[in-house]
Amino acid sequence: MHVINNRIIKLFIILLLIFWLSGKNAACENTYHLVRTVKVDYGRDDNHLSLINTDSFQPIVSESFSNDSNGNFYVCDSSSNKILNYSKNGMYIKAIRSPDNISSADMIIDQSNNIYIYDAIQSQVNQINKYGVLRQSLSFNPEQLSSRGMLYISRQKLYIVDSDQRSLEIADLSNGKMKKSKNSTHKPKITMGIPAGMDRKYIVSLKRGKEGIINILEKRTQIISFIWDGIVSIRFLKEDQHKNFYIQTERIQKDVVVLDIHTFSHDGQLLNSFTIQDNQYPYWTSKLLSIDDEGNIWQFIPNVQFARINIFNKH
Amino acid sequence: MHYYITFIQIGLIIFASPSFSWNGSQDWQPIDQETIARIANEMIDIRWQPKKDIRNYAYSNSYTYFSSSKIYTGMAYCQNNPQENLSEFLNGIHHTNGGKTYFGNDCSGFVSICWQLPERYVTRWFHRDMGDGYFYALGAKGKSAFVHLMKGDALNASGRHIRLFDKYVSSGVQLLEQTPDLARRKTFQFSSLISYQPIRRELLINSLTVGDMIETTSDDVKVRENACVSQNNCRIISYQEKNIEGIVIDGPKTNDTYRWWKIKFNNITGWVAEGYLRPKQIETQYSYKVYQNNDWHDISYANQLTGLKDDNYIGPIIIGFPFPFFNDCYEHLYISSNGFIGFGETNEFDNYRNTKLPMPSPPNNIIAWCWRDLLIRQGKVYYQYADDRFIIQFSNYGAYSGIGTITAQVTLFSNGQIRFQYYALDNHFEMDNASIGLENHAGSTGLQLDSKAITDGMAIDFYAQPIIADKKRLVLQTPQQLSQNKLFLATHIPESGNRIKNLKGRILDKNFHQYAVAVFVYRNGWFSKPYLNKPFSEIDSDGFWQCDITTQAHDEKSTRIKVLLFHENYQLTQKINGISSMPSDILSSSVDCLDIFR
Repeated sequence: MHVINNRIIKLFIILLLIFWLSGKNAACENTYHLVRTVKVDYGRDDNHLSLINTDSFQPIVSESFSNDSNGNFYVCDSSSNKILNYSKNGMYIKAIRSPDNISSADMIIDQSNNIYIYDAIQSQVNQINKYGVLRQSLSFNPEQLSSRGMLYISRQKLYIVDSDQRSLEIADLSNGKMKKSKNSTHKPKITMGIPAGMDRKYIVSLKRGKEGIINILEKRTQIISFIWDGIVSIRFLKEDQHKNFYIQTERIQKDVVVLDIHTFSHDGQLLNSFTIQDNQYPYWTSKLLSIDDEGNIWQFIPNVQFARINIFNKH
Repeated sequence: MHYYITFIQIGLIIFASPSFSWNGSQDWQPIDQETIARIANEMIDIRWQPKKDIRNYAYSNSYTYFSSSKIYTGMAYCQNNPQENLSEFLNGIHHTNGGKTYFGNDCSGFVSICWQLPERYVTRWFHRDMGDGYFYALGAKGKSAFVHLMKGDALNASGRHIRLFDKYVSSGVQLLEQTPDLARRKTFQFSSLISYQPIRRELLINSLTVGDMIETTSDDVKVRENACVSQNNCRIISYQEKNIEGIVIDGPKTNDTYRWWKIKFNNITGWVAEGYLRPKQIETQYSYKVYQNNDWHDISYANQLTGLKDDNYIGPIIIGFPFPFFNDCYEHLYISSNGFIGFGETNEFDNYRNTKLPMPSPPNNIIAWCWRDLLIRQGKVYYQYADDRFIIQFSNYGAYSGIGTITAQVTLFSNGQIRFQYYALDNHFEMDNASIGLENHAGSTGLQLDSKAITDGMAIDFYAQPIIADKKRLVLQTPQQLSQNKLFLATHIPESGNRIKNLKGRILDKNFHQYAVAVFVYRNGWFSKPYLNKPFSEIDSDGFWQCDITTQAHDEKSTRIKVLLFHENYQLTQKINGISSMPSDILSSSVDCLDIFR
């Protein structure tokens, strides 16, 4: 009887522990922690990144990086014509040799794991398969873009989005092939907002120092605003496979700039705000973070002696 | 960038491009921000094609290949010396025999050319010579997010890179820069600007002057005892929060690489570095034109806005561009259910009791297309982003009492123009008691139109008066910056108190002889100019007009001028001789109007 009682008590404690842990997990579902930092050396080996470092200008390292649908990470090293590929755990896998003479202003990867590299010098987008074979190149006229923009994929369409959040539809990506958009045969169609998810466009804005604003254009427009003291920049990053979306902000706090990631549910509820502690980007970069389809944060920092990849996973 | 050159390169330069090079601007002189940006944008947007295939020198031992069969956008990056401006570059690539070439410029050459410096500066020199006459610091290294940047300012990382600031965008700052391999416009976030120091060119036209109103641009702005940071007598005597107003009473002084202004705030007076100040502009004024416009473009296929119900408002809705309204720019707006659009503070944006405009009591900062007690009922609200405009359509919008509906659009243009387009007033929709017009943020300035005149197909265009006042002069925008719908403009406005010069202007319509110009000045009442019995100004053969607007005495007090444009056969039956307000029938008879404050 005594043994049974002990067993019951033990079982009760275990169940309590499980219940407590599951509750804790639920509460922390949308918080992040740094799971791994990957050091990437500069050099000529396969697993190294090129660093263009003369005595006379800002050292240039890659600023093009992205995740595929499996969570793997890719850094495009255009000066040595290769793409470094890391697993979803941050383990180095391989270097994908890319075609010569492709510069990369940005890169993105579709659901079929084709890689798209935006070459701003040639004004074209190149589709490369996972072995580095150039499958197709599409030229476009950049005149309508107010600046060199970033690549986005939505509903199997490829877009370049400029500083004013206007998206230029470049190509149709149905069946893993890149075809020139019908719209872009004559005058490419440029529209306001960043296409994402199934039927949405996001436009973000801010009241400098006070408030971040998100307008979601769909059948019925959603308007979200949140007070964010000291806010100086806001950027839409991605809608993940769970339809959560991610907003990157910067704010000034005393005399430093703070970098934050905010996770919103599909219906616009703020689930989590997370501060990236390490946001000193000493070298040239216009892209700070990438979000994979699970909502994990990937940070690529071209540092002085070497580059770093920080991986932040959801609890 | 680093001034780096080898003897081999010197030889190559001599043989490759002997006669085309940029060696500094001949005259060091004032320049405006728009000119700096224009020079930069021309180098960024140029589409070019080399005559022959070239391998163009970029840096160190690196060359960039450019094919003669391709068109490139943006001037090529090249660390060669001497540097090239755009025309020199185009001359080079259009006449090249191919092979190795040295065309283009680098980042510091790019900025030196845009700033029209007397010689080419490299990034280390920009740092070394800070505050020595050609440029000065706005803030310390890494402080780009904290200072107020203006178009044409530069961000310099000594020994590394320099780029020009173009504008603030949501995701950070849009910069203009020369980089390997082509000049570009690109957005950067502040986390990637920690190595850069914000700097400003000297001799900018329309920079601050004594007497200007300013406001602080960030929290904890340091107010110092003297115009310096490094000496014992430079102690900080106060910290001012963001958006605190003050007046410039002394300066500028350049010291410790910064430019300083003595500012009288409400509670203290002291010296502040220019980077933490921005000029507070005098109110913009509006003129308007009422006309019949049957060119209705329905947008009920576009994005729909929901959430409007009795006495509420929705927003913030992103406009898509910085929209200038009175003395500020707004990137978002709010839509009241009661027939107006508002900006900024949302106090009383649900108010259904319309007042006359302007009125200091809230709501303020509004565009009232039909402010009265409305109720959306079965109506719909749509909006659409177009190239240079943002359109809101109210379809079959109802009133709280009565069965009628109204269908109308409000269009905001990026140049500040506003259009009300009334498509249909169905079932006797009541307009008589509605307030129609504009009002500034304080409710101190605005204008109201007669709502009874609104009928189906009528449109009203409001024009932001193209005057930027900085106390000492009035600068008019170019005709190109004006809306194409604007029929005439003022080209010279004499300062108040000036009894010599005439008010001058031009009719932009090619059929200028079909118009008449009448000028009125306000000094304790409105008066016709040049004379009571000669209320119309003469128009010359090119459409230019001018008018003597001097008054008998106290000319300096006549700060308000109204210029009306009529059809040529219009008869001004009423004498305008000291009346307190301009008769509404005269105003509504005009085809265009300028309101000038000087």
